[in-house]
Amino acid sequence: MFFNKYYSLILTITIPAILFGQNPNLNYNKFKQLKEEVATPNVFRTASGAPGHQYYQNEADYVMNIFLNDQNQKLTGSETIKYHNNSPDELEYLWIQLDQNKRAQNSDSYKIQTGDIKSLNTRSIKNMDPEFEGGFNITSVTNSDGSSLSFTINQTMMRINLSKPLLPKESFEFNIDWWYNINDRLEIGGRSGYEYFEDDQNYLYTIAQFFPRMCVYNDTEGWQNKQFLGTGEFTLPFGDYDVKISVPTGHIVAATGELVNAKEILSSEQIERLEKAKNSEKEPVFIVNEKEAIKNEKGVKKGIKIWHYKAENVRDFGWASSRKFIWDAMIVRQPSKDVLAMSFYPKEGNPLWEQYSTKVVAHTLKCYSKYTFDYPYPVAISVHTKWIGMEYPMICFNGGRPEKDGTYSKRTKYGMIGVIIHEVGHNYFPMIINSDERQWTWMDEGLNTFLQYLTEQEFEKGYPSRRGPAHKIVNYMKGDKDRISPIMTNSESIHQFGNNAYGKPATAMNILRETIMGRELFDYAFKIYSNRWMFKHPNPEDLFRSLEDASSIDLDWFWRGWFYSTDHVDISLDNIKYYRINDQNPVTNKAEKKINFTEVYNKDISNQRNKELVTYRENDKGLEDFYTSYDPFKATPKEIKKYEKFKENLNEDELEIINSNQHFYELEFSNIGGLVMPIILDFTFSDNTNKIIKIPAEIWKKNSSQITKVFAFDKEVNLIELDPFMETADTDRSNNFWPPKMEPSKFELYKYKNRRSRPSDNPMKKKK
Amino acid sequence: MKIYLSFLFISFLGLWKTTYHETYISISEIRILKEGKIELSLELIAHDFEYVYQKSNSKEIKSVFNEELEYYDNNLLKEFIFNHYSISERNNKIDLKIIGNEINLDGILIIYIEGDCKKNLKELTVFNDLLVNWFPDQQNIVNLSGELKSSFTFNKNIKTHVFQ
Repeated sequence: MFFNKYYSLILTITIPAILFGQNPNLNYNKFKQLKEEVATPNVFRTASGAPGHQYYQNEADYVMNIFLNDQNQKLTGSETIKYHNNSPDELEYLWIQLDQNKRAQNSDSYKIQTGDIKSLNTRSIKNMDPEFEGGFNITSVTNSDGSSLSFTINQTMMRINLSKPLLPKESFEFNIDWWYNINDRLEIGGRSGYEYFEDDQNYLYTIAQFFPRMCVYNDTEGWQNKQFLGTGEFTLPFGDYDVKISVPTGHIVAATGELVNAKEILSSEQIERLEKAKNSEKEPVFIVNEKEAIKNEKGVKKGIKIWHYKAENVRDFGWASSRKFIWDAMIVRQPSKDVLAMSFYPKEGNPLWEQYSTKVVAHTLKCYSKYTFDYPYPVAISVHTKWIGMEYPMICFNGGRPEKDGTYSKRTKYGMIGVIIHEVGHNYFPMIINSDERQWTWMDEGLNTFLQYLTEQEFEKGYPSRRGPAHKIVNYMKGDKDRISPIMTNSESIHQFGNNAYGKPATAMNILRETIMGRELFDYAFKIYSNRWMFKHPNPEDLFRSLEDASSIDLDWFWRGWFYSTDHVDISLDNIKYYRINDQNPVTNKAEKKINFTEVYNKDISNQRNKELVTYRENDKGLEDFYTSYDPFKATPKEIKKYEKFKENLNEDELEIINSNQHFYELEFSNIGGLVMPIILDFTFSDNTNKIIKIPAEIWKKNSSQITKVFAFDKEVNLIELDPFMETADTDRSNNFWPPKMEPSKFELYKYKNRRSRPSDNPMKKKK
Repeated sequence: MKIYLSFLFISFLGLWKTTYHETYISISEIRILKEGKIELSLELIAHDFEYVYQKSNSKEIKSVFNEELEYYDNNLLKEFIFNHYSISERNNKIDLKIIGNEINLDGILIIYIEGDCKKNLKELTVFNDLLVNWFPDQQNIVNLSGELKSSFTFNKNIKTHVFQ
């Protein structure tokens, strides 16, 4: 029985304040259907969330020749793009992405930075007048016959001005030649670039967004030509790639697709090892081992080698190259296709990388495929980098470097495994389920972080996942609402990017799976969504609708609360009232009254002390009268007769209820956070048994602020806990208990831990 | 002259690191107790903290271990943290003390801080510019509970806030 008055007062004052500015004649119900927020279904995208019967997507095929200049870190390329217009529209121009222009000296990404004088540092000062001459140098744009093609560059976008519109079902082929200076990733930053190793004077290149790439043209955005400012990532059409990469002899290359000239590039021993890897399911096989890589990095060989790759139905192309690479591989068997899981890393990554990287790639493919579809590409590659994690089709660049002496902490190990799972997982979202990252970061990062969590938990019991469990998002969700954006916010406008686009959507998916829909319904619906949009471009509505349509659960309230608002979960168990059924029996009723009276009488301190006292009346029999022997707690014959008559008029159901001897509890709840969620209660009874009762979120349908519900039990309740498994992201658990119970804060828990031992090195180093 | 000196100081700060593609935050939970005590748990991404510490101090901060528990020397944390985080009541800085810290396996550093304040506190000023110089998008959330209940998010443009 707590908080009753307090919250009554608060509600009286705050509800009108919350409603201030809202039109009382409009519908603000938390369960209102989402029809005003989502796009109307049409021939391209159905109301069930599937691609419509006239769904289309354009394609872009690339043939490229790339030359890496290791002397001055310059990349030169010439490419032929064949663009297929599968849309029903005539296209007067084509748009191409020039992401490298983000690093051009006149880039808007430098100009839009804000901050006071104290927030300056070396980089921001340098960015005022950038020294690095980044950005694409477009040297030629020509038609397939070699004639010049008109084009206009607008920052990170280039428009190809067609002489006549590209008609539906037609293709257009053209050529672009370009070069740019590769950025030092550790100094300048970036998703791609190089790392220089001073000790052996070698470079490790991780190269991506390196060529002019076609924009997506589709039914929802037209041309997706929103400028690249650095945060909102990419959206790209699918196509086939034929890429020749020229690198110095001695470099080992990893790239999107299959190496088609292995016999010209690799030694016979390396080819033999690669074949062995194709049959090795349990342990990776070295194609280049550490000893060979160390030898390789010591000598600069003359000449160049051309590594030739082909990749089908991919949306992008990335690659890495270095003399320093160790290379290992193992096979992952799938019902529909075998995949070669591979890793490329310098000696600086060992011993962590040789032990874990490729196996983590394999585990990720198995786990993600279970929840989506068989991985459709021939290879999946993890490349070692310092610091970052970044994904491209079939290849990703991942951090996680041990100390120089080869030891590492558990944190480093789990950090590395987590980032590999995450980046390999991006093959599914958005490389295959190709959502528009520049509009909606959460559609790939959030869904991927959700599957990352499942994959981590299947990697090792108790894996320390940073995101996924409901309780890990509460500090963010209960925070200052002025600096929190709904998940459905454009990628460039998000406050608190990591929590908004990664943590909250991943948690929301996990809550859907564990609490709202249940694993069976969720997993089926999620797989339906994944398969429907495999190799296609889904929008948020397509996910929302698919999960509802395949599960028969109306989730509009969930999308509205979790994705379109910044409400948080704080459901409070405000008040409890206890009732028993009065069967009207005067004998038992009066006997109970007598017990209550006697209890109170006996408790009274004066009565206790007067126990031995002989009163005046007791000493004088003359004071006795009718009331001396009258027992007010004894039922009279008239009362008993009346009760018998009452019972005769009861039907069987009423009699059963009266005889059930049940205990009734009226519970009052208030929704402080605003987000409607299921109410999950753990009742502990007087005999120490317990019962979990789960009430769906629809209990809030008519009143999303306050509800009252009665529960009946055969036994008396001793304790009640709301959200006992911490599955709803309730931000304040202090109002979740009856009787009230305060849970210790992190601060209190820490303070009372015993930590008297002396500090030492990481346990691995200590053992060494 | 003062501005010039400040500028010189910053320009020696060294390199820059970009973490793709997440922008991290810090979250501090300040609990104000009736009896005039402040309990604070401050959560940062250890990886980001190490980077900024190194760049700001031109030396690495190395964690140490107590069996499996990883943490930093409190004395090393003290100067850095209190240069970027302070609590005042009516212009008087509250004397804060780091009582310990731990780095969890998920990479979260939690620093535990306590201090004394006056009873029945009505107003509290927090200064927080943790990591904002190095991560322009860094957001620092402060949640207050106990005698004052509120929440505010600091960033590189808003470094001071008065909670009432």
